Amino acid sequence: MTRLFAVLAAGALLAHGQALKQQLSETAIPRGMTTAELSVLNDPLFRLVLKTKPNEARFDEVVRLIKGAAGTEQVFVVDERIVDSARQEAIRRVVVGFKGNNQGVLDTNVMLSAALTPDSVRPGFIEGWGWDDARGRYNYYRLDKKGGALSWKFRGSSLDADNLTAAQRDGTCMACHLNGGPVMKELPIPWNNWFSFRSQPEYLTTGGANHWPIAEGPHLAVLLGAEDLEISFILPALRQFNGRRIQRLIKSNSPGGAPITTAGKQQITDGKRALRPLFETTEYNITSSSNFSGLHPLGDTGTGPPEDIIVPDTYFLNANLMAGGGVPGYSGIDVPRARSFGSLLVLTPAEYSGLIAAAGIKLGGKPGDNNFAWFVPDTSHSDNHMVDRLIARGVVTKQFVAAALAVDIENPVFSVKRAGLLKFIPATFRFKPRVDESVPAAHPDELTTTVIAALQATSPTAGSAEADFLALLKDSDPVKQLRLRVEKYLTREQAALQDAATRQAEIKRLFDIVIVRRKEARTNPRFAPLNEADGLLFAMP
Amino acid sequence: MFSYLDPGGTLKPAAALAKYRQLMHEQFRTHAKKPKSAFTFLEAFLEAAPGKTQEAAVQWSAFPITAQVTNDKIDAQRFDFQDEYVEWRVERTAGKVKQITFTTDFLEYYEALASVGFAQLVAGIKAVIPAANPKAEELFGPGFTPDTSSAEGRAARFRAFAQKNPWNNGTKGILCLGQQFNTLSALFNLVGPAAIVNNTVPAGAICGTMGGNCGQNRNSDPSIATAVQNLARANRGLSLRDPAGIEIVSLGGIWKQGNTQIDINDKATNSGIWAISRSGRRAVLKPPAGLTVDGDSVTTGAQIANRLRVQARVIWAAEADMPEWSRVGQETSTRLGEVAAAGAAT
Repeated sequence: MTRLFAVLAAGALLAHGQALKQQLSETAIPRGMTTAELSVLNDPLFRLVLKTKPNEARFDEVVRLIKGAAGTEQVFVVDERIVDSARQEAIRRVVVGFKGNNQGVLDTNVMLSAALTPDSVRPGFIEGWGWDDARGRYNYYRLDKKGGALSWKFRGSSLDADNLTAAQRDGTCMACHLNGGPVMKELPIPWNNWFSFRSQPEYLTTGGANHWPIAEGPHLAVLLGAEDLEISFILPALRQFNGRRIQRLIKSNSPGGAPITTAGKQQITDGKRALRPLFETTEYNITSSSNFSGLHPLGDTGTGPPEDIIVPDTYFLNANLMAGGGVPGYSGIDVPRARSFGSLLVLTPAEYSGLIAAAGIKLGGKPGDNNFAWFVPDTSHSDNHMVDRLIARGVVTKQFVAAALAVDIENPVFSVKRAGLLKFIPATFRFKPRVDESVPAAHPDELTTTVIAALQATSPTAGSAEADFLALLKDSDPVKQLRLRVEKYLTREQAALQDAATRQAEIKRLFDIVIVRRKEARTNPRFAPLNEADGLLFAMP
Repeated sequence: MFSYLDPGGTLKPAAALAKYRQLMHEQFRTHAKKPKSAFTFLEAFLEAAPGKTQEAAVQWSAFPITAQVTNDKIDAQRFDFQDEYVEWRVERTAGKVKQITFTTDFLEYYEALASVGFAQLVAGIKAVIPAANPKAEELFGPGFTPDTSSAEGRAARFRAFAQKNPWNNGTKGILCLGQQFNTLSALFNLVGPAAIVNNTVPAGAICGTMGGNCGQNRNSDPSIATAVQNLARANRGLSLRDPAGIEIVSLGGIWKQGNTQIDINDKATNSGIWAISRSGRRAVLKPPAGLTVDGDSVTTGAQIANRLRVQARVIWAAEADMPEWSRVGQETSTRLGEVAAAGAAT
């Protein structure tokens, strides 16, 4: 299930029950917050509800208090069992966003999540976050019975979340909100486990056949597809959040204040932290073909793909960042050819069914596949947008980014080789801020020359990622080098897939990589908490 | 014939509205008569059981998801890329975006005006572009004399020249949709065929069974087709609500003027930055200095289209609540034939 809210808790009773409790980790005992602690909470969820009603447990009332007279709510539904219309013990996650105005603009600034049954919203559990624009942070909250009677708890903020160690994240909301912002795992089309225009389970729609009773009521009256959640809520929220993250990493006289410019340059105060999204997978999203597998073992989804399976370009390489444009709207680094991978691999229904059967793929312990075919962890919007914004501000050049992406180009996500290069990034570095995005930053800039020197100092072994990165950075035009590698990669794959003698082996090799990435998402300690419904998120052998 | 509404309120004189209604009715007639289709005439809903008629708003993003190019290119190559039933024109001053105009008006709207006469067409254009002073050759192409041409001749020339018409192609203005797939018949070709139940695929895959009528990789086509197929599967009679067309709904994103977040969709407080008109067929963004969306200044129309929601409204009722003549399987009924013929006789 795509996760917008981290799930955690534990308990204790607050004196008089009049103030919000705090419980920052699963093992902590909930306690009343001090006046000083409460004074730094200024998001809409706190201001409109929790400040005065920290024990308000009625979902409808919480929604009503947030939207007020002039706001509206928008509802989304997600679950790994979304294709299953069976009512018995069925639970779905309902996510509620808001638009309009209630003592301030609500859009993208507050969101709730609760459990949906076929008949109602299940009482006793709500998660929520609110954006504090003044402090540039998300605050996370949860309503549960931990510590006694139902009460809301403050569960932590996004501040410095990206810099936490695995141990520090354990048992906190940041175990899932890895960089501190909202998380929608299946962010791009076709939003595998979400109600969307690509997949509209009839049981959730008023006009649908055999719909659940709740589809007739007010809770789903404003049910929208995940495409709206992506475009109207999550992408804008992460764009804003990343902008503030970058702002905090530029030297200023006050946290997040106006950057200090000296001799036309500004300074990054933590180089590795700023550039981590370029070298490491700090979060992942999940992409897939937009075509149904027809093999989901739950519900009546068919016996195989109803149409050809088109594998997305971002499976092969970081096409979004290389080419720019598209729904994410990145400026990119002028390698449009990367998009050609979007038409590279088209499997027939028989090929795909055979692939799944031969690999012994199961979902929920039953033979079958995810709802949409070729479901695979992908580079995250969070990381890509950070990099795109770093380029826009002049913190890094397109050439530097091109050099990094060219290393291990065929592994856009979870690349060990690229991650190993982060250590060459200086602790701090200066950059010339771009005042006009149409004027590119010059290559090589100070960062590039510093990294070149650091790489040269290690005398990297020929053929190593370090040597590759060094050669690319020293090139007068790393973007051109990236283009050449993209072309070579594309040509090689076209040849392998067009030749009947090699096609099936190549398809198997490519699908094996899908499994490797799924396994990494499931077992890497950093990402494992996001695998909330193990066995149902990723189909595995 | 059904009294189809004028969505823009500028179909004058009455002959223009009559022509528009005729064009609209042809679309309804084509699809209401298709065998086994849940799609039917709007007249049927006037006879439906009282209180049993409902509406479904099918929404999608205006951003052309199939355009795998930069936002600048999407702006510059409107007729190549802007294919989600929304097109736009960007006006700049010293490189800064001063105005972005979005339209979802169908070509047929202005075609109806053109059929009545050059002066009537100009009046319709001036209603949306007050400073416009179009010449005949700009609207119909060179070597054409509208005043001596037939109504059909004017309509045909206006349609054929729409992508070169400077008052529509962005050179001087934008009037209506001009991209090859953004047509009234394309909209009906989605709703009509999708209203025929096909249980061989999931409803979400119905688009893939509709051939050239449905672009699988778009936002709009699968959204409409899936929603309509779901209604048909649930035994609902349906049609496009009058006035049939595409409505601009709202902008998403985090809009700030300076450091203050604003509700861009609230016309009472947005200082006129964003205004929707013509029953949702036209909208204008006028970004003042200091306006940002998601932390970025406004630089392209595609950037805004990426945050723009549009919709088509479908009217529906349970088949059992619909008049018998309009139900699935009654496409050759006498009454349905009479309704269809009413338009043809006009």
